[in-house]
Amino acid sequence: MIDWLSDPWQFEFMQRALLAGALVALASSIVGAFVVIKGLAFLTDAVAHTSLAGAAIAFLAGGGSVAISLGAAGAAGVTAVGVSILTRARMREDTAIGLLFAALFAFGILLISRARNYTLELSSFLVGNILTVPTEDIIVMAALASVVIFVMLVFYREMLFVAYDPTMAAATGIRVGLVQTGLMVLVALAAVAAFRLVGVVLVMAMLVAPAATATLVVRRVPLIMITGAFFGLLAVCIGLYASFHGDVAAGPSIVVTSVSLFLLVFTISRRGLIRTARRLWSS
Amino acid sequence: MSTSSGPSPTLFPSSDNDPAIEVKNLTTGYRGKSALQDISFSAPAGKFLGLLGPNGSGKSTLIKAMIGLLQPWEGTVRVLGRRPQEVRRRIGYMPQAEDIDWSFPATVRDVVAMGLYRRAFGMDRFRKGQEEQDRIMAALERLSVDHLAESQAGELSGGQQRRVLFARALVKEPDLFLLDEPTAGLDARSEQEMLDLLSELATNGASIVVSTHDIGCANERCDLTLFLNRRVTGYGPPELTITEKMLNRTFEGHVLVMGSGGSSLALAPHNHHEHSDAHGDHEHAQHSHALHGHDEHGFV
Ligand SMILES: Nc1ncnc2c1ncn2[C@@H]1O[C@H](COP(=O)(O)OP(=O)(O)OP(=O)(O)O)[C@@H](O)[C@H]1O
Ligand SMILES: [Mg+2]
Repeated sequence: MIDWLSDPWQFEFMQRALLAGALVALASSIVGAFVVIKGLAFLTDAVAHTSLAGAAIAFLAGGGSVAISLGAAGAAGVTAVGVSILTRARMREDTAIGLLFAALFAFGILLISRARNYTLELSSFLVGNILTVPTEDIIVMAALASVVIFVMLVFYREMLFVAYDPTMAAATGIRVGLVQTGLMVLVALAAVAAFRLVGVVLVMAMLVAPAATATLVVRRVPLIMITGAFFGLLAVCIGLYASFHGDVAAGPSIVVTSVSLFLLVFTISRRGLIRTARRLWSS
Repeated sequence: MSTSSGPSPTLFPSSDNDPAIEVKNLTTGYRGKSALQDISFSAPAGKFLGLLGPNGSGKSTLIKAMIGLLQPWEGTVRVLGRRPQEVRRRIGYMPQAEDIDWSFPATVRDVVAMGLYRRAFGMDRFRKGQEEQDRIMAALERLSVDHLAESQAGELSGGQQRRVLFARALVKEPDLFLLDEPTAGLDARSEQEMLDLLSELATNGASIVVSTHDIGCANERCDLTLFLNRRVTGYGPPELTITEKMLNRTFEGHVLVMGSGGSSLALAPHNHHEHSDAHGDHEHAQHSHALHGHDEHGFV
């Protein structure tokens, strides 16, 4: 049993995967709290998908994995700022997201379809490359995660105030538009880190699932962030074990674990499935 | 608060010290459509000013212009002697329809703490003083909601939420309160308590601006009343402004007036249809007889 637990970590690629996973889980849960509370899941998904376009451009231009991450971050940033601008021109947020999502994602696919030798690298865009993360990539993820954590720590009060009550925040002199754009950019950066790790399709799960699980057990934003980080880390660990021993892809394995944790907590928690079912039954 | 001790009844009262509010020829509105036209008035510090007018008359708009959420298209707005943007820290604002996301997980304490928000740089951003916590609790106590400090704000009753929002304005200890219908949704006792508190704050030197639909209350409590219907239709102490003529001018006839002691009391019915007989014939004056016993209007 001890061996079963300790074996995986003798391999360097597993240690690296754990480090990368931990960084992403931390950044994801910190913005994830806002994503879940403010209903930004659609934005997150759009940002993840459009980062594919940036990644594809960087890849086709012959860039290495750092360039790919930066390309993805650039495209994601453009989406975040674009949504923010369109929304302030009084377009509904989901409409703005939908437009940019479709446009940039299609552009990404368009580019990829022109590539001749896309098999290896491009498949990592779909399911991530957590088990083969090169060191440079870990550095990029660490940088993204640090930016997210640092900005959130410093501007936490403004983020909270604007998310809670934008009118009062504006009346207090906070630049509401700037803070809202800032939050979207943070979401984009966390999404890019997650994109490199688990692939485009599963980013949503990284950002949403741990924070959603946390909201079931705690009800203050800082606690949701911390608890979310805990659930995220737990999912990364369990997912990596499953991947190592069960010989399955690591990214999806982490995500499945994360969502399973949510279902478990949802079933047993105070506001969860059992209580809800009982209430419905008795009424 | 008695108005008899107020300044001599002129239409534009003046005072020795700087006026708390000075609005000159203000025109502003939303997206190219003006909601206020050529508003001018000034109010001395330490007064309780009531804004009265029908729905859509621009009360909220005027308050937004005074906190700097809306820029003047024409004219100027000075509060506490300066532009609103420069004195935000000295203004306690309570919006009418808050943009608050009540589903947001925040305790009452968190909400009131937002009232103490100030720009801070460097390590100051992370300082969380005991003094701050004491001020928050003191504000909650003054509104008798201190026992709710750790509750989720979204799970309170509407009246409790209004109190918490007022506590958020109060915690700054502002020199000027801009309160947009602060008593809407409060029960009679809570309303009196809040008005008592406001009167007390005014006595201690704070300037208070309250928009309301409660003309009787304005008559009782305010030092000054500003009647608004896109333009200023009247301004001065209530005993001079709250007249049948003024009410008809402002509310365009949708108001019933009845004699009550020396001063007149007005009723602004929520449902105009029931009182269609009041349309157009406001020359006919006293509808008071028709109104005795009509308590269902729930007025004062
Ligand atoms: N956000 C907005 N965008 C566009 N127009 C607005 C907005 N808010 C108010 N208005 C318009 O401005 C005018 C004045 O509105 P305001 O909210 O100031 O009235 P009010 O006197 O506060 O009314 P109430 O008694 O209903 O609160 C109205 O005609 C309204 O349609
Ligand atoms: Mg209003």
